[in-house]
Amino acid sequence: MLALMGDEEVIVDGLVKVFDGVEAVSGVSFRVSRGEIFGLIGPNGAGKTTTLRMIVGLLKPNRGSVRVFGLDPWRDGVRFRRIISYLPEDAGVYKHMSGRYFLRFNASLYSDDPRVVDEMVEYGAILSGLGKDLDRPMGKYSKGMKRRILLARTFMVKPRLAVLDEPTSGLDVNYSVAVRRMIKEYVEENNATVILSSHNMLEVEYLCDRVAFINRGVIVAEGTPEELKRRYKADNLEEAFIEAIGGVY
Amino acid sequence: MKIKTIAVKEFRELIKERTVLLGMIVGPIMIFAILSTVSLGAVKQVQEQIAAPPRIAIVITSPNPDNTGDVASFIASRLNADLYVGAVNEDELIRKYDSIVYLTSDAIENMTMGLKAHIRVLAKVKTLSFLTISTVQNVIAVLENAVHEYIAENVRQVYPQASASFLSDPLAVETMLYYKGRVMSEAEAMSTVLGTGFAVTIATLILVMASMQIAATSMGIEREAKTLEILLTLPIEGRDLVLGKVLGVSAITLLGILSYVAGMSVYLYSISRLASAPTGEEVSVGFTGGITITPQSVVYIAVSTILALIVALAIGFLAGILSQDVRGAQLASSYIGLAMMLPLFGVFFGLDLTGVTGPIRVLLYLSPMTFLYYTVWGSIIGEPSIITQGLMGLVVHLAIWVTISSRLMRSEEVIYGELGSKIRRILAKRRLQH
Repeated sequence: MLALMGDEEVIVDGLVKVFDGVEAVSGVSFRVSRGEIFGLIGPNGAGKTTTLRMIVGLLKPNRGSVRVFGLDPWRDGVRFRRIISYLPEDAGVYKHMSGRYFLRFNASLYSDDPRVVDEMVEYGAILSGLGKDLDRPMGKYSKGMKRRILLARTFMVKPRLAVLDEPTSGLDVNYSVAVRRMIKEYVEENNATVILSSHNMLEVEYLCDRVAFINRGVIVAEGTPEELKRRYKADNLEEAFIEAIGGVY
Repeated sequence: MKIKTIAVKEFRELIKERTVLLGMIVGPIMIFAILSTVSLGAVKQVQEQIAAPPRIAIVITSPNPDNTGDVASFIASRLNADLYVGAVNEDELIRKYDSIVYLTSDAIENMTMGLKAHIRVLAKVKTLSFLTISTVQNVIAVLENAVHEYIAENVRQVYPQASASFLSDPLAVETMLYYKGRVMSEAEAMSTVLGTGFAVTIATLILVMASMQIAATSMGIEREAKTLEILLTLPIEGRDLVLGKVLGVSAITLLGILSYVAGMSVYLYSISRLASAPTGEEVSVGFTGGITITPQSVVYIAVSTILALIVALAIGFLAGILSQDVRGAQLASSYIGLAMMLPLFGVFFGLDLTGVTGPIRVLLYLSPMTFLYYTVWGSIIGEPSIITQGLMGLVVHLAIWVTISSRLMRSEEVIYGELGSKIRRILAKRRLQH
């Protein structure tokens, strides 16, 4: 699904983030449209997580701005957070809490209407696919189960923008496929927008409508997977990325 | 060799950690510096009271021309005291003198006949503490010396067969204390000091430290369990997040509060019975004026304890926000908790918080525990103005700490939990702008 001009839901403009005098992100800009899955691809330390954290308002940029449906993460606070949902790369769970209670706890913060909360929990339960395991303490979940409940939490609140940091990180093939399917189905059913980061090129090629290569805090290339492969005369995104950053270093 | 390698690695890692550096090296120096200031202030306060020689008045009640003159004059000259005969206005006299020694003609007669004499002493104290109560004993000691001297010079010649017990201990002194317009027995004063100085300090220390640890580690646990980032992106105000967390921890510590209040009530009740045991009349905790542990006092103590604990939790929570990990949060909350308890340690050493003025008063106001002491103390002595001051102080503290925590809760420092990082980032930002 390609972006239409003027239909941008997310506008990231010239983000700069400095940690201890070192620029982790140096002027990152991109736009994402409604219904798009946008992938941020880069090696470890490229600035993916920092960029995503600035988009969701966890980090304040030193320069630049973020607008999601015209809302500013820092100025619009709760209004902003109501329309987004974030899944950090290494997110954990409350070990004594059951999966179902975790879903209810999250849903209750998005709506005061008990019926809406029930609907969200119901939807989250279906998305997680955890069945009876939902009533077990999450501390007893496997890594894949934890990731599924966290993804279910992310999507059950029907965010207009879901920001996913390495959504399949550390998962086996079965879980990874299930998670990718969940993301794709959610976007198609809800016409929602997703920004995700990954260094799994196969995953990105399968999921993303558009992709940005990020290296050392800078976006070096942006386009659809096909465009990028054509531009760098590569068979796959991995080769295109290596070409884009000027070879392996 | 391997052990040395591991030891060196461990030392190098730990010494670079700011929380360890602060907690283990800077912290103790700071704590002891502050503690010595507080205890010096307390000792100074007591020293001021006993620095000048006590002004003593001797009052001869029911004078008997046959025997009172010589004995009273002798004791008065040894004590450098003024002599009053007959009925006196006690209030006026205690305002003028530090102590009043009451001699009855019966007591003097006993003394001259080699029998134990009962003497009543009223000593004025500016503060109520273990130290000030013990200083009253100085006056008694001087009085006993004077009586011993009189016995040696006069009674032994007349009654060489006087009993050894009389010669070694000729007086039965009933000491009464005059404190802020109220008269109380020594036992009552001691029970009041125990009730506030000891019970409030020790019990509050245990409860506050335990609660603060729970609150402080709550953030560290969220950070280490990697649940914090999701929590911070949920649609909820920073203030609500802080209050929610603080109230959640409060619910856990509610049992502690209930146990604290129940225990303290039993404790105060038991020492008040001890103090009023001889008469068996109204249960009073302190003053002869009839100050009682009323249900109202228990409510004040309960409310102020709950407030003080919520404030402590908010501060502990703040320590958790600013600390890098659970270990740092524990260390920070321990030191902050101890620093907060300093005013109560001052009370333990004899400092009268309500009587402190100047910069030390401002320092004391930095701790919410000062106001807990005010409320408890005000409840015991029945001073509504002190109770109000205490409750208001606690409310102001609560507002300040919740506001600061809420602001920080919505800042990016909370993810890393490092105030130092923020300062470095501000400096880096300035460099970038230049």
